[in-house]
Amino acid sequence: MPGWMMEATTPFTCVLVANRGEIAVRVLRAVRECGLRGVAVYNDLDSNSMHLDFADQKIRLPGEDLSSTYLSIDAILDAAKASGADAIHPGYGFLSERPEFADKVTESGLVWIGPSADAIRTMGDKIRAREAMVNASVPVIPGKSIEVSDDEDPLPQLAAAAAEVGYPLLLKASAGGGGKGMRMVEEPKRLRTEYDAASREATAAFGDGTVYVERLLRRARHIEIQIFADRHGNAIHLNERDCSLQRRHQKVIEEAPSPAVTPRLRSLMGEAAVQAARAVDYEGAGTVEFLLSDRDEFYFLEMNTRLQVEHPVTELITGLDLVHMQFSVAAGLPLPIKQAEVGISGHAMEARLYAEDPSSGFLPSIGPIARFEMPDGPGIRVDTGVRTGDEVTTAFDPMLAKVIVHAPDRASAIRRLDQALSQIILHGVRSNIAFCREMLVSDTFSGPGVTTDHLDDLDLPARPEEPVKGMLSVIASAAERLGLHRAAVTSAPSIVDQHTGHFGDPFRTLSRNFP
Amino acid sequence: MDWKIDGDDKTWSVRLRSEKNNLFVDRLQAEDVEVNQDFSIRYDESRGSVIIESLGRMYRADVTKVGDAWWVSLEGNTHVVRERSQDSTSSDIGVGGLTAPMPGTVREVLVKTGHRVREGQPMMILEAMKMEHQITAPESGKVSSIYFTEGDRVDMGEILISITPQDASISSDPG
Repeated sequence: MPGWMMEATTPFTCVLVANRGEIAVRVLRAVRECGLRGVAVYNDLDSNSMHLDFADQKIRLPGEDLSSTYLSIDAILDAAKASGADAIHPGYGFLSERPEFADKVTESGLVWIGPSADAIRTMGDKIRAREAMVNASVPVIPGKSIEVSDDEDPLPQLAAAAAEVGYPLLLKASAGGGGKGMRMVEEPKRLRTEYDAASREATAAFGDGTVYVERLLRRARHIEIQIFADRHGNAIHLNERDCSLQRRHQKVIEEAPSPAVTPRLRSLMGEAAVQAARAVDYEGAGTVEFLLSDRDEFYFLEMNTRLQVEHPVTELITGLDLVHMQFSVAAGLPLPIKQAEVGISGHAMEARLYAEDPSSGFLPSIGPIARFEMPDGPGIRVDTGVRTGDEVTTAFDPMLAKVIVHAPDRASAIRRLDQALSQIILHGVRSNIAFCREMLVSDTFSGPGVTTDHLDDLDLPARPEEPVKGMLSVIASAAERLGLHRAAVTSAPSIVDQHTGHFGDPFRTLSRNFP
Repeated sequence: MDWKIDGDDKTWSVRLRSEKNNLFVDRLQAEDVEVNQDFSIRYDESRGSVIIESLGRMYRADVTKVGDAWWVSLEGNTHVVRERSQDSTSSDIGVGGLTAPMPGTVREVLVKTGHRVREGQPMMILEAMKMEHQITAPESGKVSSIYFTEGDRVDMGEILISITPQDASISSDPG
């Protein structure tokens, strides 16, 4: 048992990560750093995937479809049994917010690295979450819930609720998340089309069909507070993240701290978030999402009862390792820091790199990753789950990597992220890199005025200029003439850091300090 | 050699000549317009990049060939440059044909054969990667054929729906 776990009341030594891709890699790295043993799981489409390289043991989940593999509670529990794992980390997505999974893990005598099933259940049900927040005096947005049954047309009910809440509005599947199963409705006549789309998306992705109607606040910012709570009654917040830069409700660029949050607002929102967590006896890492109006009013959106995709920006500004903290709390240890000790150092910013094509409506771009080279340099961190030779398919989420930077202030973070993105070499699939860079340098973003509506308004990146096109055809001719298609693709020889498995420089790990 | 750059309609022709360890451009043409610009190109083996010097500046390009296309990273942007072979006269797959932009499943067909559609009108909903994508009419016209029904799997590039454009249907009806 590692030294840090000596005092633990529910110690564990072997963590099964019930996930894949970049988050499985991220968690398995932390498992190693914390002196624990790591178990990876994979289905038949993932038998050669990157996360397996970071585990001490890998267990196959037979099958190709998600429901019998990554989404199968029984398959995961069998894998835990077979490997001798005594704790389970769910990552994000998949089973991470399924209360019955948390229950079954605990019933099997394993340590569940996450909040209680009850907390997940309450927060996962947008209606109950809202009631809990109202009772805890956390401000909420005007909205109504609709129970939908298969044999009745939901439209009359829906229309009545919509009229009460007011247009424009958002339709959300109660079990949705990450922008899926969520549709914007501008006017009454679009209600049916958007409802049908929302319920189909929710059923395909999550297996539930209840719908929530909520007033859409325009020109609002999406601010979320990272919270942490332990079993000893301590609950703290680790400042905010600003995720206002979204495209169709999918986060694109996230940063901390938020340019719109003053110290006073930070402590008000932080207190409200801690209040929200306490209301459900929360344990571990969680995120309370708020909408912040331009008049500094904030409303509870939802609570994510898991680690967030964008957790690295919080890690960079606080110097904390959130995954290690999750392990500590799950082992029954008290939080390593107090609220007054939580600081903000500099500015962190993250871009999500997606395999998608901005020039054809952001459709997923599938194909071979013929070449993938990451940026490096001081203050640059890359969390990824794919490498050269992998293939992007429609089977999994199209997010390839997160590029995260840390710099002294916001302006330098923007420049650093722009530079980092420009260094990426990704060939074989299209990506949103150019789009992200366009966002970053836009006047709206570099000023403080970005809102969640921003991306939907923005023009697409400009096509290449004539001189560039000339040069491109010259390059292609030269490459052909030089026979470069036959040359093996190699980059500058890089040294693998034994500690982190990262290629290249030691700077990447410097900005993280492990409690 | 002739090239087409994704997002651009023009054909670019290049003729190179080799001198010592460098390549030089003999002729660069965009369609019929000749571009007079000097280029000197060499290969940097240590990094696997192509080095271009032009107009007193140096550029570094990273290239990978995927199928018949060169993927080129230049100045922080990535471009796809495709070889333009002699026989491919038009890359379009039939006028008015709407093709699947990705492999997926047909969730819903919103129109029927014979329907009049307006430009931008949703006609079909495809689902892939847990997301929905609307197939909208590229122009106004009449739906002449629908090739798939709900629940069908479609491959990328398959024709989904054909439309007879409005002006075509008007001209075919002189009355």
